[in-house]
Amino acid sequence: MKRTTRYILTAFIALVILAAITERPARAAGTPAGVTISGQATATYDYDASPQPPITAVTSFVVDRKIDPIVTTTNNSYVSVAPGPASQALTFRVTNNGNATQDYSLAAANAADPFGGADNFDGANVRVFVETNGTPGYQAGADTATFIDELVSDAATTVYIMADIPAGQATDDIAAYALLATAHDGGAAGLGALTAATAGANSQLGVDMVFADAAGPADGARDGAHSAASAYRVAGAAVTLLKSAVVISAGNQPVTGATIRYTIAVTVSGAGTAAGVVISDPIPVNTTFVAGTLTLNNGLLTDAADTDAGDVNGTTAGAVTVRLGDLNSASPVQTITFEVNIN
Amino acid sequence: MTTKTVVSMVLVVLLLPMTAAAQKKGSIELRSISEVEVATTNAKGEKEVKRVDAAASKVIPGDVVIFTTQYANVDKKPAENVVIINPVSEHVVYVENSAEGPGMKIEFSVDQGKRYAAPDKLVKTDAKGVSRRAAAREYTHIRWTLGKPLAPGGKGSVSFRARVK
Repeated sequence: MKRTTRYILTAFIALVILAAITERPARAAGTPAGVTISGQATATYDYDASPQPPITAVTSFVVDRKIDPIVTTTNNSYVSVAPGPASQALTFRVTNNGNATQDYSLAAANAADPFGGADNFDGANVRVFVETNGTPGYQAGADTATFIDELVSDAATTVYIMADIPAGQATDDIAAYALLATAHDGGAAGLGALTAATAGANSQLGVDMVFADAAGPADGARDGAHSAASAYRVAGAAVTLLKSAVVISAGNQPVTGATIRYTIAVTVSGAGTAAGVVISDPIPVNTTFVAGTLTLNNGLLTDAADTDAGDVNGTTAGAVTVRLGDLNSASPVQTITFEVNIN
Repeated sequence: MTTKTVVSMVLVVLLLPMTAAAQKKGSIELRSISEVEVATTNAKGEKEVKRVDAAASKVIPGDVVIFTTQYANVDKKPAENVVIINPVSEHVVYVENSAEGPGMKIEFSVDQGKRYAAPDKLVKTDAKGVSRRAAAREYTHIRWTLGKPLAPGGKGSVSFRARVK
């Protein structure tokens, strides 16, 4: 019985999940512009107990054009960049929340940092591209459109702000940009004329243009445009050291005269580059370095301070020193070993 | 013949054509109005909400429109069993608790006017036969029933609000 109950419960949960997945979102943008909405009233009544013909009256009005672009960023936080590389992307979505097909011109504008930090540098070669080939992420040469053409009501498209990050930016430097989408008239291929709001209360002739957009970081409310900001942050590189020790002499006991081999594994994470990494490890007290046992990535290093990467008791007295140079997260793990005898 | 009888006969003769004329042009007059509320600032700098003809105003999806039906008995006799029905347009959604009509019983339909009931008695039944209380957004028609005869010259209005889809 218990098992049956569990199966039923599982099936029920699965059904609930399915229902949640298949539920269609409500149509946000609404009744298309130009639709006539009528309100009709019909009255029936009796005179002298005999029913009379029904009387009807109608009122109607035309739905005007709602212009309501919504720009959001899909970056949940800073886009981590290293100093130097070209064409780094901030990613946005532009949604047509209006009730007619629109074109949108696009621009990148300097903005305050939306993630709470302080914008303190500008990218170079800042451009805006629309996702064109349907493959997620910016592909140079494929995502080439610079404006949004014929975005139907309720539809959304992905837009990238691309910038080159200047070399020499320091870790944690921030460059924030807003994507500004401005409504242009749809209806034909190519960027249509700038959509203008109908002045005054109502033209009474045909469909009025009504701006219904919210304010964004680079635009005001009801101006036919909307914006959202995202930001680049220069990421440093984190160097991680993992040191282990093994007694390698007979008996495997850390007794006087025993030999211990130390292994130090060096890895780098983060978007940046750790420049000129030098590992320095003091030889433990009450131990003596075993000459000729210093290795880097299985290659023997001389103990002397010379042209190879390591030395013992040279660069720093009483310590093992290994110079690893520039490392980043793509670099292989750097493994240093050396042996000591317990005095 | 006395003088009194002559006066009565003349009165009857005079009344007959008047009654006929009134019946010909209809005895109840209806007027439908659709309006939106517009917030304005008056000359004193106070905020006011004005009702403006929806056709002479900007109306976009999400806006609330007030549909009003004015009725009047323009005949000389009371009208009985006065019932007014407003279909809710497919492009709008009824705003819950917005129907008003002094002295009227207000009922709703969720099946294109086949049956009417008070909101707490309206049910929707799905394909599996499971019933639930109907939501205001599912109302297709609104019916107002005047509880007593509408006297000659009597008039009133009923209204409801609906949000443009």
